[in-house]
Amino acid sequence: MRMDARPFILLYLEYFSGGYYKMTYVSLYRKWRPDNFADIAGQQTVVKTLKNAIQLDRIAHAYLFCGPRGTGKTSTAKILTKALNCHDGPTVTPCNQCEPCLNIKGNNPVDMIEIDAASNRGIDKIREIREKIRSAPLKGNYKVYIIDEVHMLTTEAFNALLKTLEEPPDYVIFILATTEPHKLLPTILSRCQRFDFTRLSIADIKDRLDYICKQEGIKADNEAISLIARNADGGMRDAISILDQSISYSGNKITASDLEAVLGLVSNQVLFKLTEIIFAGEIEKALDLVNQIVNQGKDIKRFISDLVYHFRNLLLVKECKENERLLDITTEQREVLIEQANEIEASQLLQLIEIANEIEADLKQTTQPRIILEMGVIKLIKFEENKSLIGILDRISRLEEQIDNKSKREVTSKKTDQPQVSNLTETSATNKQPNNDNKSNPEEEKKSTTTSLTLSEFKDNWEDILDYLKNKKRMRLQALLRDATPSKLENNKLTIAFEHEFHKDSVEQEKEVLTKVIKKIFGVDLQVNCIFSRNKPNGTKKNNKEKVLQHQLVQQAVEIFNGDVVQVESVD
Amino acid sequence: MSFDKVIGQDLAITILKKQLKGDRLSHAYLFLGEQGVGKDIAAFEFAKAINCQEESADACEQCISCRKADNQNHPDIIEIKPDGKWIKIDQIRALQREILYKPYESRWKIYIIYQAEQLNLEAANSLLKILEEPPQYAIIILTINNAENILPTILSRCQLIRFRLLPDQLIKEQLNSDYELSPEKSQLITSLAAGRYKDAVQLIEDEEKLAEREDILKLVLAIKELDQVTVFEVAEKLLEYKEQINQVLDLFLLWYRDLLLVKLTQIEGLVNADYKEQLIKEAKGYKVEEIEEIIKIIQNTNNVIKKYNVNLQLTIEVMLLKLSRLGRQNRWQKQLE
Repeated sequence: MRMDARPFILLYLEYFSGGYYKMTYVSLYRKWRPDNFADIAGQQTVVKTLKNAIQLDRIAHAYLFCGPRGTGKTSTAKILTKALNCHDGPTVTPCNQCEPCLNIKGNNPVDMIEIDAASNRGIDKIREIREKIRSAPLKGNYKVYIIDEVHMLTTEAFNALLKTLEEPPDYVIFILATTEPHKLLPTILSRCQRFDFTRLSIADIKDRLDYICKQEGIKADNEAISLIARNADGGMRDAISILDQSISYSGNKITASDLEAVLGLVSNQVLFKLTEIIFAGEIEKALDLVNQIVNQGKDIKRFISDLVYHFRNLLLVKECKENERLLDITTEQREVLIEQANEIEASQLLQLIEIANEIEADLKQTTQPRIILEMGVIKLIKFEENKSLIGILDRISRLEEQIDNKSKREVTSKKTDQPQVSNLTETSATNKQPNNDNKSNPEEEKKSTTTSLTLSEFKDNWEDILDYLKNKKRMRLQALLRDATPSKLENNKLTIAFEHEFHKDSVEQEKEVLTKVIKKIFGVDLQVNCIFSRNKPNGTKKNNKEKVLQHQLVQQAVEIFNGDVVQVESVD
Repeated sequence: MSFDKVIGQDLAITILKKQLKGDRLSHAYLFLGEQGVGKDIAAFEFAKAINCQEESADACEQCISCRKADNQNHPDIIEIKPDGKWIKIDQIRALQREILYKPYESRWKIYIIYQAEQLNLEAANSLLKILEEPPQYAIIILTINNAENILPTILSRCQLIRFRLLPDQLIKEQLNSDYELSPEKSQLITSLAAGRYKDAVQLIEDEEKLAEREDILKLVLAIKELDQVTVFEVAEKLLEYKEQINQVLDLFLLWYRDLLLVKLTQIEGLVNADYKEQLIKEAKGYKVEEIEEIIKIIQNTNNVIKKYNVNLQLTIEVMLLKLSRLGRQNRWQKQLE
């Protein structure tokens, strides 16, 4: 019996000591955590400062590590602890062999207390720290408290921490780590030495990935590594995660196309094709392509940001002569880029980038990415009509051309039709027929015009004046002018007829504005004269009365009530 | 086998199967994809497959582990769902406590957190540490609709598995093999589902859904003629769909998207293909910019309702008022022209 039981007990022990699981696979980003300062990618200033602090024995009692995800905050905190508590230490090169080092690596530390502030947010946890902080470290030189995700502590907890944080015992070091330093109290910030971890550069990530690939025996081509680095968005953990996933997808050899599949990226060819379609303005083809992309399950947000990146590359090859350093591409790709860049102006590219950026922002919060994408692509194609600054400039120049053509035509037509009017220029526009004013005969007016402007022309452009006023937010004036008509134009005097006296009076007060607007639009200085047009009151009243009687509503009312119309009165 | 229940997600399933076969399971997964494309099913089947005693890369559906899971009775597969609207910190604290106990009978202990975007801020933060380094035997799977709605720190700790919208062709085939439908109906339901198979099934099984759509489209058509009084009548009718207001607004969006396409002389690929004639007629009354503006207004309203705790009635009324004002402005402009 005993003989049989023995192996069972052994197995049992092995099972619970964790040995049973020793062979299980560990995520690459956990396996390749940096072990010493030299392994930390990027963050040169942080590492240098910390190293010097150790060498010069100027170790602060409270550190704050902040920065975006995956930049090495917690890892650096652990390395710092190792460096301080190593048997050889304090040293800048922890041995990773001695007991304290191994304990930290095995997540089983003695003198390092790691607190998850997001789960233990309350004041109780901080009180507990204050109790325990009095006992000296058991094995190492220092007792290190790492408070991770510190931004989630409650206000009470923060305040309870203040005193301890300012003057802990000699052997205690606090390391606070967070992604959101702006959520900390200023009193906490001022008690810590702050280290800002920056996003990692693409080159840094690539170096580290190359190193890991070599160690793991993975063959990955340069393009693939670049793609990973670009998609990680500055986070090393994201980068290694992607690498991990692509290894399990494609085995020991990773190519760019594998990555495109794993990440749901759209290939470069598709980007080139879509750009071509956009340049050509073929909406139907573009929508077809969008449909394909959506149906293939590509990551739509990624696709748009890749498109922005593509436009950016086009812009760079177009505008920068020495772009090798800025563009991470092969010579082959560069040639294709240059070819495409030749088809379009830089200003248009800038505009495309602007629109694409808008689409990207819109996509972030939508449940219907497909609709937004379709609309976005339509916008990209119809962008000339966009009302951005460049678009307006284009339209202005087009208008100028039109005006030029028009005035030329005018000059010729006047010369042929009205030879008796010899002076068309503004300066000589002074004389002629002062008495011929009361009748509103258009032909006569045409003859009497002495400026380069005729009344009919002016009438044609009346809407322009109204629009202009509307755009300038002169709504009141515009509304007042709406029912007025320019009735006469002579001797640089413009007469405007109003239907209502009140309107006339109001406009008269703002005459100057009107003069300015006219000057702006027609380039002519005109005196504005306002009149009240109902100079034939009887006639108009009669007209009005007939109008009213003929109106459908009135007729219906008469019918319904079976009555007669006794009196028609105007209500001003 | 059991992964077959997930339709049309070949890439995602391939990645998962390869990881199962190669014994390269990560400790944290994030299943990302639109609602109704099969993430939740995939997460559950994946959990089953991990713990299956017979097969290495799929669930056998025969062994005791698989059968227990199917009966919602597996001690080592734990599902976490929103409690009310949110997943709260207490639920995550419970996870942190329980995850330290070794699995009862399987090799792996698996937590599935559905709708992880509903983790409230405290809960999400308290998940971070355990998500980064759970015990060796634990795997945490999160499912989520939109990557923007979750902390980047969570995102970066997980292996991301993307689930795509299904191609129309695939949905149609699947529908035709599962149900007996006339070609027109299957086409219509396919385009209405817009890549979400679950929606398609819902449309078939719940006859009222289609009738509802007719009613809603009538409301859409009414919008054009709204004045300040009728706005409130339409708003009242819309509020009858309080529970699914987002889907209703999605229908609005699809309608205007179709209008836009028709306006740009693209008649293929309309969602509301059965209303084609009407769309063509309607399109004449709109300008492209106008439709774009309308889509923007509806889109914004949809986001606001989803993201913030707003007064639904006010939001809907404001949206309709904006739309009717836009309509009036444009009619006015047209008259001027």
